[in-house]
Amino acid sequence: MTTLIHSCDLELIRSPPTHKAGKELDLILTWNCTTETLMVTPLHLYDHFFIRFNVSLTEQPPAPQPMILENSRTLVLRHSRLKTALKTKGAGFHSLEPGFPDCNTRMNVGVAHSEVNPNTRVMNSRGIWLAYLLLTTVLHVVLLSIPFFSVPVVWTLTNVIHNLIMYLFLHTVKGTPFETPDQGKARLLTHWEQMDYGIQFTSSRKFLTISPIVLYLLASFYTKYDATHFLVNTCSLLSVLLPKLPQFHGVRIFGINKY
Amino acid sequence: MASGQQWVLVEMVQAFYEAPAYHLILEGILILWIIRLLFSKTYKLQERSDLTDKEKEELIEEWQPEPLVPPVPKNHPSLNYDIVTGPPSHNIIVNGKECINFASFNFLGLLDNERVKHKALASLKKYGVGTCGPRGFYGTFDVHLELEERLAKFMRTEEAIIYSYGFATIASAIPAYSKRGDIIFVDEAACFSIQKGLQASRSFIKYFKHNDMEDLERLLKEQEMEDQRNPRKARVTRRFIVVEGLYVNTADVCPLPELVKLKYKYKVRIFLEESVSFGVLGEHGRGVTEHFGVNIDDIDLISANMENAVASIGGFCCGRSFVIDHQRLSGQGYCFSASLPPMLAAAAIEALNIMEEDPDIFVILGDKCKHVHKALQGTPGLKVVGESFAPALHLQLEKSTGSRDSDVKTLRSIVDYCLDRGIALTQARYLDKEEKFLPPPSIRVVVTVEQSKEEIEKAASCIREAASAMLK
Repeated sequence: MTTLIHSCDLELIRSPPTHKAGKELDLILTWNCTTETLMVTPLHLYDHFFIRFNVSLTEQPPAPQPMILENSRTLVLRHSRLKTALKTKGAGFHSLEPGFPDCNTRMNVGVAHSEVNPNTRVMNSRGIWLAYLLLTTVLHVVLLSIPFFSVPVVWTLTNVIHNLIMYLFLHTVKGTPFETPDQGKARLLTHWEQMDYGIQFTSSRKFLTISPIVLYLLASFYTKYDATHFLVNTCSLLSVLLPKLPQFHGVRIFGINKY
Repeated sequence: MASGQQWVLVEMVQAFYEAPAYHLILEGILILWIIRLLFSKTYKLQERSDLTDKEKEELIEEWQPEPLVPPVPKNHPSLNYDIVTGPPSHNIIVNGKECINFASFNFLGLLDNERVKHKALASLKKYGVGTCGPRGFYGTFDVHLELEERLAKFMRTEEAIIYSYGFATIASAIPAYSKRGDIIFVDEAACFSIQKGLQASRSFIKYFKHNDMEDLERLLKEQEMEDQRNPRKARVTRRFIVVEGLYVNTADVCPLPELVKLKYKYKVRIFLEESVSFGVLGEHGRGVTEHFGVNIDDIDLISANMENAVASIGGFCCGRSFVIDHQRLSGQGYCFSASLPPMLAAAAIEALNIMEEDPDIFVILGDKCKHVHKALQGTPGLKVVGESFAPALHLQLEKSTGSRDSDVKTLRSIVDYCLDRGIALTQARYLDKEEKFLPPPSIRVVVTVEQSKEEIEKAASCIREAASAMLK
């Protein structure tokens, strides 16, 4: 195996025994780095030991990356990934974090964040667009499985129920369910108005405007352009499209839902 | 399917060809809308500014920054301190000269009390000096919980919460309950910490004239008419009255029974700030509620700092459980400041013990206050501002010269005269530019239980001499 390791330009760092039985079972392979202060301490929970060492970079040649060996027992350090402490278990392989991802797309659940009003970032969090689409599909499938609805009725019902729920959640419910540190700035704002702190035409807003339109186009196709269905679907679509216009930001017609 | 319809694609496309024109036109418009959406830029709603770039450049060019430190004359009073060596107890050493202390808010003399010092030292040996953490982050010690329990029991409320800085107590409590869109009615003579709390709350503030219940009722009636005009808005608006028990700036007491009547008539909540009256008024020192015999449950929140009578540091709020519990997550000074050092919490507990064991000290303090009030009457050129049972009186100039600076200088000369003769007095200090309603300059005379009758007489005669000498 050592010849294989050398052929990949990797270096095997010798360490004291890393397993209870006294064998060096966990290998440290490095490429273009040097290690120092290697310490191996036993853990009372696992049969493997806790390995800790410092890694320092050497000059990086712009050569193509070598093939990496990934195996449940070995961990390879590359110059692009730095870790100063590694814990290896008998089974399983902990993936190293890929640097600093874009915080806007991560759902900061249970994490300390500095967002003043988390409601503004909900529709940008990871997976929510897909969840929304899946939920609409599930609604449609459930309606389809009711035996006495014909297909046009099902499509109209999907459209109407989807728009109703969207109107309820985005344009009726106001404020936040939690206290915000800005002393209640968003107390009288609906979720649509809170999204992205009122910035218009962000990608979430575009997505949420386009999806009822697409649903409407599909519904009118599947209802064979019937006049009654047209009326119902169009009214429902208008009720959910008009509040999304920037001209309607903060507008409450006839004072409905103002306070 | 029950209806037996077959959905063949050909049928669907045929229906598309036979579709009514209005429907297809609408769909066309919608598709155009989608395309327009996909290509529109994001923008903020209030971004548009009516200045051109050139105008912006001009404005930037002609802006002159104000100096970071404004030029201040060398003899500004804040630059010349009186330096105190040793503890500010009954005999205080100011500028190297030993004086009798008529300036520190040590109403019950607990600053130098042997029992309190002994308990504090024992606590210091046990816990160390600081807590190095806020309450939620390993900063809660058993002494904190004990002090909260004791305060709640002493004030006969359900729960109490401790803050580590007296100024921050009411300044954190007000914004925890009152947010944007809420209305607060507050007295004009409210102290600076209340003003900062009001500013932090971002609510609508309505000031009523000091202790003027008619003015307050007028404001409440106006608000009631507004509410009747817009009942939906009224339902989501919270209303508060913030008053102090004994006002620091004017040394008089708020008319609490009338306030409670107004509270129930107009449905507003009362926040009472009892920094000066806690441990002073009332038969057992419970503050202005005991003084007037008002049921403590009628007051929604009582806030006080422990830096006056209790001779510790920090502050507390007490009231119903569900009111106080809210501050454990929303009180900014509670969640985001290090907690009270356990040494001072132990000192406060011992001070409470002394207050509970010996309620006679409140009677003694009341007597001494009356004595001082009477002794200071008739000072030439100075008038006594405050109630007879207030432990911190103000001496204001009867005839102001018109300029605040010269008034301050005159009062300073009186204070200097008294300092030379062994009476330590101080002027009431304010941040002149930050106060909403700046009180006139005054000398603050503080009464403590440790002052003997002779000392009070000596102080009164000294002030009289100083006034007649300086105010010719």
